Amino acid sequence: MESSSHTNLIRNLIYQLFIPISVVILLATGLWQLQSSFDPPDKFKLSPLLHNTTDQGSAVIPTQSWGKTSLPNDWRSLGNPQQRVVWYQAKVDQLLEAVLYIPHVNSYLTVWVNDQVYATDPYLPDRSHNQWNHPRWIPLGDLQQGDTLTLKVITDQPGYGMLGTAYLGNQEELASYYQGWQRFHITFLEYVSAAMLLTALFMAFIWYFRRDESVFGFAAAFLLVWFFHNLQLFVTELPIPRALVDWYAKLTLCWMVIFIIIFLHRLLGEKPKTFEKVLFAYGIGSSCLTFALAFIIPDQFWLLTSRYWDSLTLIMGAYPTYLVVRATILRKDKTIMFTAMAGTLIVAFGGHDWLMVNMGLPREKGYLIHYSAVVAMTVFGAILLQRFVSAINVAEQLNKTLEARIATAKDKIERQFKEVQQLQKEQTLAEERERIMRDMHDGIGGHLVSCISIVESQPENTEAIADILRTSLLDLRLMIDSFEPSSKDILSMLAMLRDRTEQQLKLVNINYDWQVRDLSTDIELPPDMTLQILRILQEAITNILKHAQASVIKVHTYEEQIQGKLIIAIEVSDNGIGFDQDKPRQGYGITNMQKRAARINASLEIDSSDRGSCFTLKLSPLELLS
Amino acid sequence: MENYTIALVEDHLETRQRLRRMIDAHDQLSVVGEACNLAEGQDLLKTGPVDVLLVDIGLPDGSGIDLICSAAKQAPNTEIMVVTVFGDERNVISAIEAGASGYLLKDGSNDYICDAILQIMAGGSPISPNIARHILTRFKQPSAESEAIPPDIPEEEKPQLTPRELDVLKLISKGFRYEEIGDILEISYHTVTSHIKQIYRKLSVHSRGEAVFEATRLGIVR
Repeated sequence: MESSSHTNLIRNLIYQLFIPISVVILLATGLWQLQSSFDPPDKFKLSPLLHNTTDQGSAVIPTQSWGKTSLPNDWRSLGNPQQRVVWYQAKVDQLLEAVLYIPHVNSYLTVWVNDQVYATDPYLPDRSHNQWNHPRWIPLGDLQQGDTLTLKVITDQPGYGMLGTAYLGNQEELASYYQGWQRFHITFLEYVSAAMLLTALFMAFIWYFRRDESVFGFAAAFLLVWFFHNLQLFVTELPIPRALVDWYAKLTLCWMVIFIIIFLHRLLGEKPKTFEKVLFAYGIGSSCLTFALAFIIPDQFWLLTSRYWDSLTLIMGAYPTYLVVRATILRKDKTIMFTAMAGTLIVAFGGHDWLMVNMGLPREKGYLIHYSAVVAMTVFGAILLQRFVSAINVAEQLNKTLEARIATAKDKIERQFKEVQQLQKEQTLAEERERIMRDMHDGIGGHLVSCISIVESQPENTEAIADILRTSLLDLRLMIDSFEPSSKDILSMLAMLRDRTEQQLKLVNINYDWQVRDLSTDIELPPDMTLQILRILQEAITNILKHAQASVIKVHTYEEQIQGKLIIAIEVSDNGIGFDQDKPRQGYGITNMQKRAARINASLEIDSSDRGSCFTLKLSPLELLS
Repeated sequence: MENYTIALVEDHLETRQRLRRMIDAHDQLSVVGEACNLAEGQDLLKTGPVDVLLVDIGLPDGSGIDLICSAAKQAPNTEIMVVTVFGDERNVISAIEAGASGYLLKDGSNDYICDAILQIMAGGSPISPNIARHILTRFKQPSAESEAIPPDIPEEEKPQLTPRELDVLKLISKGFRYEEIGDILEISYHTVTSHIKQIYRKLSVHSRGEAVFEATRLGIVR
């Protein structure tokens, strides 16, 4: 198992890394071939050549200390780390209308034909004129055989100056080589950098609107820093002091690596906080230190930073390579494979550049790293775009799922609601049925039973029978009234009671003294409550009718506060003969009335004297409703 | 004293006989026609107008409401009363809407029945607190209860109750009698009864307006 998994791992590694490495080799070879194709033929090379390395400061052409040399002339071979100026001289061996074409000079060039200056780079003390990466094209006009061509090269990077191969020839013959190289070396770089800036801005916008996706933010930072790094390769007039140009170039390199590391962490879903903090601390620390060094030891700055800072940057650059290779092996993911490809290319080209600067690799063609930017940008852009699009797709999918879920939930809730409604309806019906049954049992049922009993035992007593039947009908009407929606408040209920009983009272010359008063609260009584109250009052009225020998029944309503509670009182009194409260006669139904009152949490006070009796039903709206 | 003619439409034989007996016993009133179902009732209308028509709603071959409608059209001077056991608001209100101007309880005593008929001939109409309350709800201003009155009914179709009429209805719904209302509002008994008459008329018109609105809403009338 162990060995087979190892085999798998290796197979995976080869398979996953094969394509990226092949692409890198292919691109590098292609690049090499392409670069060589811009070299003019050897017959244009400027030779034979003398050079003077001893004169470091004079403005006029020195006359002594000339020795033989050939181009390209890399000053590192001169062995003097302080070398700032080198003079070169050649004899023109034929008559021609000439142009001097030099693809690579580090850095400032002045050209004489005999004693006459033909071209000179501005050498400003406080501002960089950063022309070292640009090919030079210097028309010299008609040259005579025997004319002396003198070149003076000054560098800002002591010991690191260089005069690349120089070509002297006819304008028409050299033009295509110069233009081709100019396009490939400078114009291409300008376009790539513009694309980088746009891509960086695009990603920055995405990050701005989606702060959680910091991967876009770091990709933007990485590309933006790279863009700034590129600027010093094609912009001659950078608005920074001369002393800071080299610092600027190396600073941007360092931060490129820092940002790509964090970008890869985010892309792979990792977040090693301490490590990243250390990384940032290193970036800020080294930036500040080298900034100071640029002013303290300007002469040794280039050499020291190239040797140490760049090396650290390169070593750091190995870490993202490790990240990508690890991810490539562990995940069979095409995007990771492409990232590996881009990463390998950056590391390979970056490595080449480091070797060129620090290990004496030929440097006439300049740096390579920015060529990898095209691939890197394409790959990162595609990955992030895919990520962005898939995020939108996922969101859409989620939305759809959510909608479906909501619809299901809605259906479910509706169904449940209907069920609950149905249950409630059934319960209400059951309760109503039960109530109606109880009411009938309480009222009309009992009356009819006693009616039958009278019909059976004393059929001649028609008056009693009619009386009971009338009472039954009244009770039935009270029941019906208690159902009416308009009888929910107390005054309407009392009004109905009057309407239902007045006819009967009139027959025996009893009149109502109607003293109902508007109530401060508008309470709604449930039907069974209404019926209970109606029955209590009806009983009271029946008692008066039968026993009191009264001529007036006074109905009076009022409110009072008892222990902070609002009490509604309904008072039914008469001007009759009263009754003995301690021994109420049978048939008064007082016990029955008390029971009904207790059932609805009301109290019934009964007072009687020889001037009449008084029933007071006291209701507390709060308790009624609870 | 004037004499009044009565026609009686009631399917229940005993009730019909009881009512007839009571009415005929009164020296001012006499029953001049009887019917025991809707068809006979319609025929009865053709024989000529009477002063008072008493109609039961639950007839074996149809609703007394239809008969009330026909009578209200054919004999506008006839006072129509609905005869009911319970005097419940559903039946009475629909009868009033159809054109009746009062109701009688079937089990009413002799005096009650005759008084009610004489009262209606004198220009008064009986009304129960329940019915008063119901009418109050029906005429509630739209502002109080947004959709209580459909807004599309033209103003002339939508009679409103006067403040006095509202006062009268409110007192009735609290159980006060016409005489008592007269005392409270300091108006005569006859003014109270004519208010009631007016309210009944408006209720009938009001219900026609609502019917037109409903029909328009349902697309029957355009």
